[in-house]
Amino acid sequence: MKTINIYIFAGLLFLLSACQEVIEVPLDNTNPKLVVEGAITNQPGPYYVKLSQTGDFYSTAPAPKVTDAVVTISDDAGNSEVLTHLSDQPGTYATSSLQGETGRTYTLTIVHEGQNYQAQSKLLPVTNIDKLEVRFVPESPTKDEGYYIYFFAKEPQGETNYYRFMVYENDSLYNSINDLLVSNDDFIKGDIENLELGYAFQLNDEVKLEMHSISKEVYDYYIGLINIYNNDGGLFSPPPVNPPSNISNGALGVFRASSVVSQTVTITGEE
Amino acid sequence: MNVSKGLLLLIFCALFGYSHAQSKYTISGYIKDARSGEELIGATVYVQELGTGATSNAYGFYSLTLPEGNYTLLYSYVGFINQKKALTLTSGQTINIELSEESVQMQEVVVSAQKMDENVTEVKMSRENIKIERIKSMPALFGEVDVLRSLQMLPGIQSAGEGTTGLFVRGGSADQTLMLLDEATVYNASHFLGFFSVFNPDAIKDIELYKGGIPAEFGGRLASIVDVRMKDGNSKNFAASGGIGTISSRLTLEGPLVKDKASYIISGRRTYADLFLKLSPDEAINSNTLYFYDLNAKMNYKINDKNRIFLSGYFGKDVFGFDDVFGLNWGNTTTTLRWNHLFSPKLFLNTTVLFSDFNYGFDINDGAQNFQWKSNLQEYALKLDFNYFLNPSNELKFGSNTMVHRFSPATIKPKNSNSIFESFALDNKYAVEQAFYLSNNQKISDRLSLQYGLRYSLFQNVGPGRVFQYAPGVPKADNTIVDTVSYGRLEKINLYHGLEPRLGARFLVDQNSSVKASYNRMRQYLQIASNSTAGLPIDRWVPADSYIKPQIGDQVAVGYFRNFKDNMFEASVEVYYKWMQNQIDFKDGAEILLNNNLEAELLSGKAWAYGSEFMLKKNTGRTTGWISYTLAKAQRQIEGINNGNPYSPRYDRRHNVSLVLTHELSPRLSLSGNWVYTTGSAVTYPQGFYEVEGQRIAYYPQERNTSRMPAYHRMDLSLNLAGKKKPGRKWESSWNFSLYNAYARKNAFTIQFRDVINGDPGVSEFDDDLVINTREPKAVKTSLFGIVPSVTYNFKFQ
Repeated sequence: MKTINIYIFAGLLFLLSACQEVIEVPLDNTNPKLVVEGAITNQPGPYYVKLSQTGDFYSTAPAPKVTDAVVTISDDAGNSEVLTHLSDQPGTYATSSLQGETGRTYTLTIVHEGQNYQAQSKLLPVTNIDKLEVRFVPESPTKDEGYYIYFFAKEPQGETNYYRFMVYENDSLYNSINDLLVSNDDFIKGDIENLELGYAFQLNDEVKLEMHSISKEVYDYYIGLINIYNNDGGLFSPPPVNPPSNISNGALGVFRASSVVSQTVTITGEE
Repeated sequence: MNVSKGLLLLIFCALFGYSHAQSKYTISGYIKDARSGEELIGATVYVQELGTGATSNAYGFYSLTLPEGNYTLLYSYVGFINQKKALTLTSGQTINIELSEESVQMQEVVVSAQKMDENVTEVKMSRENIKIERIKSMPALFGEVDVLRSLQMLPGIQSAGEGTTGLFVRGGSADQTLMLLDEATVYNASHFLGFFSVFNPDAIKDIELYKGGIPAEFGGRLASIVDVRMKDGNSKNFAASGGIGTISSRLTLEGPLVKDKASYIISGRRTYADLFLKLSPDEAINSNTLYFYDLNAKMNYKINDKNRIFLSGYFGKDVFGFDDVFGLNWGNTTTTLRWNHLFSPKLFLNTTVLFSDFNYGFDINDGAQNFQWKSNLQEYALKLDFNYFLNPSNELKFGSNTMVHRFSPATIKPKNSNSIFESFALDNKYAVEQAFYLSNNQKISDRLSLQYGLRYSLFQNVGPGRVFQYAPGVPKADNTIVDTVSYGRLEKINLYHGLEPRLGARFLVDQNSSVKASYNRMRQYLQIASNSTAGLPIDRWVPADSYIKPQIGDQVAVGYFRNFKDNMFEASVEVYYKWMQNQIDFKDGAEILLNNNLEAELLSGKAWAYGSEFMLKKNTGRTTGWISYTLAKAQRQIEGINNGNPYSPRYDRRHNVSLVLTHELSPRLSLSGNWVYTTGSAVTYPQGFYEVEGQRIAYYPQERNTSRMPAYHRMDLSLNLAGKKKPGRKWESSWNFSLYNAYARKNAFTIQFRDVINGDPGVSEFDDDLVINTREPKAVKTSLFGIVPSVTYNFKFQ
C-alpha cells in the first residue's frame, strides 16, 4: 500500500518537471550513537552482529566501526554465547556454536563504553514456498522485458504474519533500498498464486528466493527505514523520524530472529 | 459559562426592550445588479437623515424599520453607481433597487456620494471579502484564476508550500478551515493534488472568509470559514462567457428561463494536459491519463414576492492514471436546495436542504497484485436560518443546522479471482451533528455597536458501529483490546456537546477610524487524520468519537481600522491570540488509512498561535491593491512528540509580506503584479548518518522542526488587454498574459538529504547502464517552477 504515495509523487514530478540542485546547508552533528545490525536464524550458524556508529552527514568516509564491544546472544532455554570480533571484518562479531531454534526468544546484549544495550526477538516459524514459476514478459510502459518469477505459497491465516524476502542472482544479493522487500499478510489470501517478483531476469540466471519470518517490531523497523529513505522532507511527507529500533538505550538498527526457507530456479527459457 | 449567560441576557434585552409607542414602518426589498439581475450580497442602504442603515443579506434582501417621516435612502455597492431614493414613509414599502456597474471611464468622474467606509463602521473584524473581479485581475499560475490561491495573498492566511491551495489560517491547519459552496461543505477543495482549487471563478458570485470574530451562524471548524456563493444566473438576458487557457478551457451559459422570475447558470471547466500526453510518441507517456473537470449548475425560481427557490449543484472529478496498472480518481459532489421565505418585511427565512459527497478510489492492476479501493464520505443537512430585522438598532439571526455524516473510509475488493488480495472493509461510521444559534447585531450608540451570539453544538456518534475497549493502564494497541461493544442502527454511541459564545464590538473613534474587539469559541468534530502537512486526496476524515475528543478553539482579537483620503485608503492592524485544545497527531509510522482502531495510533495535546496583521489597501483610482504584513507564531505541544516540548508546526512562519497591485495604463490595458515573501517552513534536518542494510541513512534528532527552509519569495506579473468596446456590440473579449515567478526564483519545495551520484542530483542509482564515479551525501533542493508564462483568452457574449 505504501507504493501508492510513490506513484503519486512520481506523477507530480513528471507533471511539473521539477528542477533539482545541490545546495549548501550547514548541519549540526549528533553525539555518536551505536548502530546495530544483528540476525539469528534457524539455519546453521555462524550468525553475525555488526556494530558501527553514526558519523557526520556530509562525511564520505564509511561509518566508524565499533571493535571493542562485548556482544552476547542468549536464548530462553539457557544457552548463551559471547561473540568473537572478526579482525578481518572490523565491527563484525560472530557466533561459533549457538544454533537458532524456532519458537525460542533470543536476547542480544552489548556492552560498549560502559553503556548497556539490549534487544529481544522471537524466532517465529515461516511457511513453505510451494513453487516458483518462470515466465517471459515482453516490454511494456511499466515493465522491462525479461523472465519474471512467480511465487506460490499457502499463507497461514487468522494471525498477522510478517516476512522479509531476499533475492539472490547468481549468489549475489540484491541489496539496494528498493530490494528491501518486507510484507505482512493483512488482506492477503491464504492461497498465494502467481505473485510476481518485480525483477526481469535473463537466460541462464540462477535465482534464489529466501523468505524470512520476522516479528512485528522488526517489520515496523524496516518500514520505518524505507520511509525515511524515501522521505523527501516535503509537505506531503510525514516529519522525518528514525526507524523504530528494538534495541534499548537509544541505539539504532535492529536485531532479528528469523526462520528461513528458500528455493532456487535457473532460467532456462522454458515457459 | 458566564460569558454565555451574559450574551443570552443581552439578546433578550434587545428583543423586548424596544417597544416604543411611536409608529414605525418597514422598508424592505432586494438590491440587484441592473445588468445581470444578480442579487448583490452586502450592498448597503443608508438613511441620510438618521445616519443609520442596513446591509443586504446573502440573498440580496434588506429590511429597515423607521419612524414615520421623510427620508433620503442611498443604495450603494462597491464598484456600482449609487442610487438615491427620496420618500415619505407613512406605510410599509417594498423597494427593489437595481444598481449599475461603474464603467472604467466613469470611475474618475463619479465622486462617491457615500463613503465606502464599511471596514471602519461594520462590527465584523478579521473578515475578508475579495471581489471575484479583483481575483480575476491577479496574475495566476498557468493562467488558471484560483480563488483559494488569491486568498493566500491576504494577511494571516498561508499556504502549505509552493502552489498548494490549502488554507492555513492564523496558525490553524488546513482541515480547520471550513469550505462552503452554496452552504455545502466541500471536503477536498483541490484538483491536481492541491495545485488548483475546485472553485470555478466564472460560476462564483461572492467569497467571504472569516478568520476571527466568527459569527454564530457558522461553526464546525476552529480556524476559519470560507463562504463561497455561486451566481444565480442572469435573469435579464442570455449570456455566454468563457475562456481558453494554457491548461484548461471554460464555458458558462446563463439566462432567464422566465424573464425576471426564473434563471439558470451552467458553467464548466476541463483541463487538457492529457490531450498533449496522447501526442507523445513515447508509450511511457502517452499511456498516462491526467485531467480534471468541474461543472457548476444553478437555477432559481421566484414563486412570488414572498417565496423563492434555488437549486444548485457542483460536480467535479480528477482522474489520474499510469498505463492501466495504476488509476486514481477523486471528486466532490454537492447539491443545495434553498427556499427563501418572507414571513413579513422584517422576518426572512432561508431553509436549506443539502447533500455533499467526497469520494476517491484507486485501482491497482499488476498481475496477481490487483485490487480496487474505494472511500467515501457523505453529509446530508437541513438548515434553517432566520433574519429578523427588529429595528435599525437590532438585527437578529437565529437558526439551526442538522447534519448527518456517513464515513466509509475504505473498501477493498480484488478485481478478479487471480488476485492475491481478499476483500476487506473498514467499519463505516455514522454521526449526527447539530447546532442551534442566536445572535444580535446591536447599535448601542452612534459610536458603539455590538455583535453577540451563542451557538450550541452537539455531536452524536450513532450505530451501526462498534467500539473497542482496551485494558486499563496500558497503551492502546491491537493486542490490548479486551472487549468490543457493538451498537445497532441509530443506537447512541457517544455524545459531545457544548456552547460556543461569540462576541464582537466596534467603537467609532471618529468618522474615519474605529477600534474593534472580538472573541469566539469554536468546536470542531471532524478532522483529517494525517501526519503530513499538505493534504492528499486520500486523506482520511475522522469524526470525534469515544476516544477522539472534539477540538475546541478560543480566539481573542483586537484591531484598529482607519481610512484616509475620503476612503481611498483603508488601513488596519489586528492582533490575535488563539488557544486550541484536543489537537491530535499520530505516532511515528502510524498506519492511518487502513486502521479500524485509529485510537491506538493517536497522540494528543494542545496548540496556540498569536500574531499581528498589518494591511494597507487602496480602493480607488487607477492604481488599486494592497500591501500586508503578518508577524505570527504557531506552536503545538503534544505528548510523545519533540520530547513533549512545544514545537513549530511546518506552517509556522514568522514573517509574511504580500503586495497585490493593479494599474490601469489605459481603459483597455491594465498591468497587475503580486509579490510575496514568507519565512521558510519549519523542518527537521539530519544530524548525521549511519549505515544499515548497506545503505547510508540520514540520522534525525528527536527535536522536531528546529530548522528553517530558505525564505520563499516570488513575483508574478500579468497584462490584461481588453478588446475595443463599441456601443451595442454584444461580443467582448480580452487577452491575459501572465508570468508566474517572474524573476525565476528557485524556491525550495523540498530539501532532501541523500546521496548524489556523479555530482548530478538528477541521476538515480536505479538508472539503466549507470556508471557510478562518485557518490556524495548532499542537500538537494527541489524547486517546482521556473518562470511559468501563460496566455488566456476570455470572451463574453450577451
